[in-house]
Amino acid sequence: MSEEKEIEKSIERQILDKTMEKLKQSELFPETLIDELKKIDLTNKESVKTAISAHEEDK
Amino acid sequence: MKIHSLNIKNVRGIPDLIIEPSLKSLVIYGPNGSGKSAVIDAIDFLLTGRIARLIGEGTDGVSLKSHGPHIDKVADLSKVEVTAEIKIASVPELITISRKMSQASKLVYDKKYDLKLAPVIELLDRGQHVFTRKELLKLITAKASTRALEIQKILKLGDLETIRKNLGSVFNEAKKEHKAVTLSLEASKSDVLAISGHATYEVSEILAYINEQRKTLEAKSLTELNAIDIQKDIAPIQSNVKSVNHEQLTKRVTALKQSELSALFTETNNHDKELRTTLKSIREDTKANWDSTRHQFTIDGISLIRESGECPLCDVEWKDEDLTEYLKKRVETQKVRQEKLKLHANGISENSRAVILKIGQLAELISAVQDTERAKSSAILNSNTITLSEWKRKLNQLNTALLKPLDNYTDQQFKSEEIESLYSPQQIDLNLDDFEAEVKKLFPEATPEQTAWDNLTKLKERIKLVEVGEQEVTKKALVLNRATVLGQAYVSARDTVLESLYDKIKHRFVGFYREMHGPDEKGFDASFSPKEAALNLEVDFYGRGQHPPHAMHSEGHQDSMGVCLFLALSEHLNKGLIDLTILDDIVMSVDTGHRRAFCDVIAKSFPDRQFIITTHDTMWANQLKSAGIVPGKQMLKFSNWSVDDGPDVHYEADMWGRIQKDLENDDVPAAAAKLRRGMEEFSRYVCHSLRASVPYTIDDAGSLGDFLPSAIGRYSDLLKAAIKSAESWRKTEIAQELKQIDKNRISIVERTNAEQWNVNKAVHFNEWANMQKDDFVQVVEAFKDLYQQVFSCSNPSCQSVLQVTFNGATKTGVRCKCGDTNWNLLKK
Repeated sequence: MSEEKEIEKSIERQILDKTMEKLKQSELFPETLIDELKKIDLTNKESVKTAISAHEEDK
Repeated sequence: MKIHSLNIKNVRGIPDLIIEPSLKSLVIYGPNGSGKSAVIDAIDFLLTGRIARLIGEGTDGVSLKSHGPHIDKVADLSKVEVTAEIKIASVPELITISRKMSQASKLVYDKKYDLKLAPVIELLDRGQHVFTRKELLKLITAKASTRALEIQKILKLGDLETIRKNLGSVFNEAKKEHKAVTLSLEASKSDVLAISGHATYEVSEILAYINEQRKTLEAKSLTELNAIDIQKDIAPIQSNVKSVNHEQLTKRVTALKQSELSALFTETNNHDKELRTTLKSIREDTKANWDSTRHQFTIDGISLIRESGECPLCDVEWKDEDLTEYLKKRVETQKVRQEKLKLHANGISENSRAVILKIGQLAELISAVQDTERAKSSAILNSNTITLSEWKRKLNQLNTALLKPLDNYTDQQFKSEEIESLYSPQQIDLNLDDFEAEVKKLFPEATPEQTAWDNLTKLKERIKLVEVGEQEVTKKALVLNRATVLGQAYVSARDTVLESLYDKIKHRFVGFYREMHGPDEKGFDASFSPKEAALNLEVDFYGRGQHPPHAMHSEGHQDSMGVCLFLALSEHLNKGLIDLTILDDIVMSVDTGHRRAFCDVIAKSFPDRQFIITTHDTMWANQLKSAGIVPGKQMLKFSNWSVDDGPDVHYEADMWGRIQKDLENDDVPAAAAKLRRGMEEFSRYVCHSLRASVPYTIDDAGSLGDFLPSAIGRYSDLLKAAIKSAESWRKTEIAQELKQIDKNRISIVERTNAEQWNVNKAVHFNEWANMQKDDFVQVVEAFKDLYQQVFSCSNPSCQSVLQVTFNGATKTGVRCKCGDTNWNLLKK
């Protein structure tokens, strides 16, 4: 065993990354919005609402 | 990562405790309430900054800072601390880590280890190395629909469900807001139609109407509909005389006359008859009536049916999928009924809205003159205006009732004649001819230019509202579409990742379980089929097909399945970095035979892993020791917990040291009690390992006097059988060695006087407390030799209790864990 090897991403991280991959395929989600979603806490309703309500100019 | 030593100060029920697992596995055993789980909580706190037991369902009003510390130290969190020396593979020396409750989020260690410790800390934070009995029970008894969630909880992935619910909530709110702005836009459009006189809002028609008005005012036509341009290049027309467009008045009055409404009424009448017939059939059929009011309940009920086919409410078992099919049929029948209701209710509603629009258009035309003294003093205008308003109110009332026709569209509330009257101005006492004549008499014909200017003024204001409304709808539609796509993407990503995880661990889970249950389930297989939030776990039952775990397997088998599933998941997720697994009071329903097999699974598949296991079952603790999972000196017995002192803790291997201490203090009674209790537990386990016959008691009790003579007798018989076997194979040297062992046994047993207990009361263990110190020292020495030289392997690195081995029902040998002791019992 070796602590120096890179650990597998957490299940949560894997799911979030895959979610973002899927969102990239939708024209509703510009890169700026995806970057914003990566930063915010998805368990916080207001943060999610604020993020998806903005960025319409980039769509 | 493994734990070398642990110092717990003021955590949960432990005021102060030092434990030294020395990087090896550790068993903490003792009765319920003795403080075992507090050690797990302390380790949990040290490694993650949380105490899992204080988080999640059923922990309302409980918090880490209020309930994590020992009850006397809640006020001073700086004194609540756990320190450990840990070992990680990439650092040769031990690393000291600590965490205080006053700074729960901060793990303290020498910063020079930052780089090496970072991945370990990240993995520890995921908490996937701890498995508790509570989690096990919830996992195994979970329905398919919640099993995936239980696995997520075991893997400390509770946030997945929180995020899913949150995204669902965002979607619902977005849908609601979109609906609200859409309705508001429809209302704004209706206000425009009230001026233009159109039945529906078509931009080209509205633009054409505006250009018609502009033409009257000699202005150029517009090519696009913009509120700001509607009066562009037109000089305002001001008039002090209140006037009405007589031509439009005639048109709008005519549109409301009975002859014009008859077609609408015929259609409405047909819908009304159909609607009443459908409602009557539902109301008269109890089952249909029930289904209509509880449609969603029936739909939800389908997902609640147990995997075995049992009804979750009355426990009646239905064959195959019969209950599901039955409920699906009811849902389908109800869906047909609902569609029929909707068709006819909407038909009536649409027609009544058309009449409301016509009333609004007439009211709009005369709105500019309504407040004049001339209008107010006209009885004809007043009475007909009130009647128009009342007519509109009734139609709106009808529409509201049609939203829930089963509840509100009754013969008492809306008789057929009343529906008819809503399409007959005469019946509602509206005299449209008089009304038209009175308006024309009181108010002069407005000039076309004045009418056009007034219309454009109102349209400018109202189309502006439509434009704002359309922008709002566009915005909210975007948010709704994003919320929909985000929610779907998240659920789909979650299922993909978890499916892949289940796929990766399935063979290990099946392998562990087969190994644990040996020949009786060698064909065992399992299938995981995740579907949305659900996870179907079906396992093979003795080659008789796949069933959910709790359908056919015993509680003990289900327990082993849960543990095997956890081990497979934990191994995969912590691979190579966290060599520590904590099992808190699990494997309780597994029988002793299968527990031994479980020990073999641990020994074979996790030889380098440090297990910290708590249990209230002494037998299971001893099995872990005899199987070599836990060295003898890593057996911690907890007892006599008190608020002030916490648990009374003692290492089993230290029994002789503690007896020695009592003797040094000339406390023979205390030493005698320790010897008696220690030997009782030990000889009970020897009887189990050697399959010795013990006098049966219904409460599974028994004393040292029951266990030790049986253990000695059985040992003697087995040794004699081994000597005979060696002689039959002409293995003279082995036979001699065994005879020497037997001589040694006889000598030691004689020194214990155990065989005299039943005949000589003076040497019975009941008398130990009354002995002189020098005499009792000899007894202690004799029992220590019996413990260490007779029943246990004398190899210091093994020390496991000797066990009988079997091939089927045939005894084949006696051996220890390391193989130094290995007697053959089979004769030639």
